[in-house]
Amino acid sequence: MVSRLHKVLAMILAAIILSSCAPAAQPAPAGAPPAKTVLASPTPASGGALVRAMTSEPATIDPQGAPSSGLSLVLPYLFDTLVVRDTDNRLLPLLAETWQVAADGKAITMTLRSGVTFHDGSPLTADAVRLTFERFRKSGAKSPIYGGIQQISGIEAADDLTVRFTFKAPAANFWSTISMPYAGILSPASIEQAAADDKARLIGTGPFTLGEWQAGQSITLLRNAAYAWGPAIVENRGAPHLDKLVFKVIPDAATQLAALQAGEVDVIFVNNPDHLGKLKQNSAIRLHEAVLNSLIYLGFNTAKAPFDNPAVRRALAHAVNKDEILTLALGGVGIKAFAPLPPTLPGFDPSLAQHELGYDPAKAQALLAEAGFVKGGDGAWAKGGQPLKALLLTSNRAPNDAIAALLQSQLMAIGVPAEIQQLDSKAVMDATAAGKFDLLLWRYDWNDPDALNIYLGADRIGSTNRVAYKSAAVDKLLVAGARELDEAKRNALYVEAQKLILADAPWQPLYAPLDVLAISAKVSGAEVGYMGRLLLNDARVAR
Amino acid sequence: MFIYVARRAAGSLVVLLAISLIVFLALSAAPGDAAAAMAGDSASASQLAILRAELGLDRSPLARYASFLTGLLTRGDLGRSLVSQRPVAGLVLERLPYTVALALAAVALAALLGGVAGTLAALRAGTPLDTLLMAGAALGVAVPTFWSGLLLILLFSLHLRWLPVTGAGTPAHLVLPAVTLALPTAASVARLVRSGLLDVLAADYIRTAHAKGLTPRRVVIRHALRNGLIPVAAVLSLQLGHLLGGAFIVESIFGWPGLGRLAVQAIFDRDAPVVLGATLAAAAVYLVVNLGMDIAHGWLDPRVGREAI
Repeated sequence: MVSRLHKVLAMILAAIILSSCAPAAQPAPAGAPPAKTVLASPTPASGGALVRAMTSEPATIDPQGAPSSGLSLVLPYLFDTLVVRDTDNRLLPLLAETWQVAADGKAITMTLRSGVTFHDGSPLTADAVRLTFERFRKSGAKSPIYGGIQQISGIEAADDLTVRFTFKAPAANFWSTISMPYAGILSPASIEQAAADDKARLIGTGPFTLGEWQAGQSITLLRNAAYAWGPAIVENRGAPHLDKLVFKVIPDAATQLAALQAGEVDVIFVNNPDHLGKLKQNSAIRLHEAVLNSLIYLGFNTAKAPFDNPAVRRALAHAVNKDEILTLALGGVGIKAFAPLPPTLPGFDPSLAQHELGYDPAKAQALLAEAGFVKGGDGAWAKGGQPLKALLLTSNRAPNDAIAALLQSQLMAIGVPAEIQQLDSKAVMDATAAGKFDLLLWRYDWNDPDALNIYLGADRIGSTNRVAYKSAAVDKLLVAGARELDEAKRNALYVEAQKLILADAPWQPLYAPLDVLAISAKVSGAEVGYMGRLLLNDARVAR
Repeated sequence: MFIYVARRAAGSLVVLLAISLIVFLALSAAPGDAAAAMAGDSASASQLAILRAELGLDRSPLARYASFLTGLLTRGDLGRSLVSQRPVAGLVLERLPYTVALALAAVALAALLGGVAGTLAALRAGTPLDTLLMAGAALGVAVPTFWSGLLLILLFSLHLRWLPVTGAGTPAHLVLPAVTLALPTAASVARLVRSGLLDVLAADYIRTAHAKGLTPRRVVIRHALRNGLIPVAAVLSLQLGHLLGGAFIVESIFGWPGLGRLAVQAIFDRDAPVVLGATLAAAAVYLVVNLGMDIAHGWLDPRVGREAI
C-alpha cells in the first residue's frame, strides 16, 4: 500500500522535476542535427572518472557467490572470463586463445593467452583456471551457473598454458556458462587468502582493479595500467582510458534520475516509462537500449483443472493482447515475444511466429465452448457447475502490477474473471512450488537456449518448472539439445521443441524486456555489449 | 536510584531476548529462505538442498535460534551473514555512525525548528502568524518523507545546486536527509510546544511571575518554557530512539548508508543473522536512550521521580 503510493507520488514528482528542469538542459535549437552528432564533439585527452549509479550493493565481490544486480555490474570490469560473446551471441576468445573439442564431445582443451597477469602481479596459468573451477565446484552453490559448472567432471592443467576440461556427457551449454561474468578466472593466491580471511578480496585480470569500497556508499575501480588483452569486441585492447570507474549506491530510481541531471552520476538504468519519456527530450543525455536474454510470460498451472486442459490454456492465450501490454504498461520499451525463447537467443526462429497464439477473443470464446464450457446469462463461463475463474499470481516488482491489471481486463473481456495476487518474489516461488495458483505472470533471464530445459523440463517440476509442464516429446528434444554440440543441429532441436510447446501452451510468451541505459553526453566511447553490459574500454569522460 | 537502574537494565535484557526470538520466528515463518533468495529463480532442487546444508538451513528454526543465542551469550558473537559470510557485528558497526549522525542531526534540528515555531505561535496565539505556523506544522506532519525529500532535492540540488543529491561523507551530504527527517518531528514538536506553553501561560504561577514584575522574556524562558518542555523532551527522546534504528525511506532516497537499508536488504535476502544483528542494535540503542530519558525525566520532574524510584 505504502510502496504503491510511494511509486505513484514519486512518478508525479519525477514528472515535476523533469518538466521543471527541461529548460536548464539546453534544448536543441530547431533544425539542429540529432543529439548524437552534436555531442560527439568533445574528445578529451585524459580519460577522467566515470560514475555509475548502482541500485543495490553486492554483499561481497565474489564471482562465484550469491548473484545480485550490483554484483553483475562490477564483475565484468574486475574479472576476465575464458571466452566472451558479442551482441550477436558469437563466441570470442578472451583469456582462452584457442580451443578444441574432442570428437565425442566429452573433452575440451584450451590454450590460454600468454603474458596475462592478475592484479596481484602473478601470471595467468592453467593451474589458476583449474583452481578457479575447483573452488566453484566445491563452494559455488549460490551461483546461477552452479548447475552448468557441475557438468564438468574433471579439469587438469596439461602444461603452463593448456587446460583440459572433461565431461561425463557432452555439455552444450558449457560455452554459455563460462562466458558469464560469474565464471571469471581468479588468482590462486587470492583464492587461498579469501579462504583464510573474510576481508581478503578475490583478484582477477580485468581492465580495472578494485580500489576503495565504502559500505553502503560507493565502490571505486581503478584503471589497470597493465591491461593488454581486451577482447575483439572493443577497439582499445589495452588499458582503459578512464582513470576511475565509480559505482555509487543509490537505491531510489527518482534520486538516480536527479543525480544524473545534477551531473553527480554519468550512467543510470531507466525502468520507468515516464522517466524515459522526459529523458528523451534532454539533449545532455543519450539513451542506449540494451537487449537482454529475458522473457516475460504468462504461465498456466498445467497440473490444475481446468488449466490442465490445453484447449483452455490456448483459449486464454488467445485472449491476451500483447500490443496493448507493450504500449500501455511498458511505454513501448520491449520486444513483443511469440516463442518461449526470446529473439536474442540461439534456438529462436522467426518462423515460430506461425505458431503463435495471437490475440483473437472470438477464437478464445469458441475454444472455451468447444472445451465444454457454457456461457451463462451473466457472461461468465461454467462447466459442470464450476465457474471458470483464475487466480493470477505475480511478484510486486514493477511493471508487473500494470501488466497484471491489463491481463485481468483482457481476460474479463472474454468472460473470465481473474483475481490478482501480488507477492514478494520469494513468496511467489514458494506458491508455485506448492501449485497454489492458476495463472503466473513471471520472467526468466538466461543466456542459453537450455532455458527451456530449466523452466519447462519435467525433471524441474516442483522447482524451476513453475507451471508443472510435462511432455515426453518435448523432454526428449530438450535432453538431446542439452547434449548436441553442433550449433545448427542444436538450434533445430530447440525450434522443434518450441513448436510443441506453443501448441501445448503452458506459457503465453508476452515480451522480451529491454534495459535502457541513460548516459551523460560527457561520456564518449561507451558501448552496450552482450546482455546489456556497458563496455568501457574505449570510454572517456569530459569534465 | 542504583536499584532502579539495575532493575530497568535487567528488564531491557529480557526485552532484547524476546525481540530476538520474535524476529527470528517471524523471519522463519516468511515464505522463502536465504538459499532460495540467493540462488534465485534458476536453482534446481538439488542445488538448493546443497546450499541449505551449507548454510545450516536444513536444521530446525529453533535449533538455529539456539545456536545463535549460544554464540551471543557465551562469546558475544552475533554470527555471520548468510550471504556475505562476514561477521554481523562488523556490518552493523559500519553503518551505526551514519545512523547516529543522521538521527542526532534530525532530532536537534527538529527541536530547534519546532521549539522556535511553537513558542512564536503560543506567544502570538490567535494571530495570522499563529495560523500560518500551525498550518505549516499540519503540513509537516502530513507530508510523507519520500515526497518532501524529493522536493528538497529538486529545490536545493537541481535548481539552486547548493547541496549534493546523494551520498555521505561531508556535512553537506547530511543536510538534506536530516532536514527531511526533521520536518515531521519539528511539526509535532511545534504543536506540542504551542499547546504546552498556552496551558502553562494560563497557570496561576505565571500570573504571579508577571505580578512580581518580571520581564515578559524572563517569564516565558525561565518559568513557562521550562515546564512546557517536559512532554516535548519525551517526544524527542522517543523519536531519537526510533531514528537510531535507521530511517529506511530517507536513507534510500538520499543514498545514506544507514542501518535501515542494511536491515531491509537483509530481510529481502532472508539473511537472519544480519536482520537479528541490526534489530538488536537498534533495540539496544532505543532502550538505552529510553532509560536515560526516564532517569533524566525523574530529575526534571520530581513527581515522576518519587513514583518510579
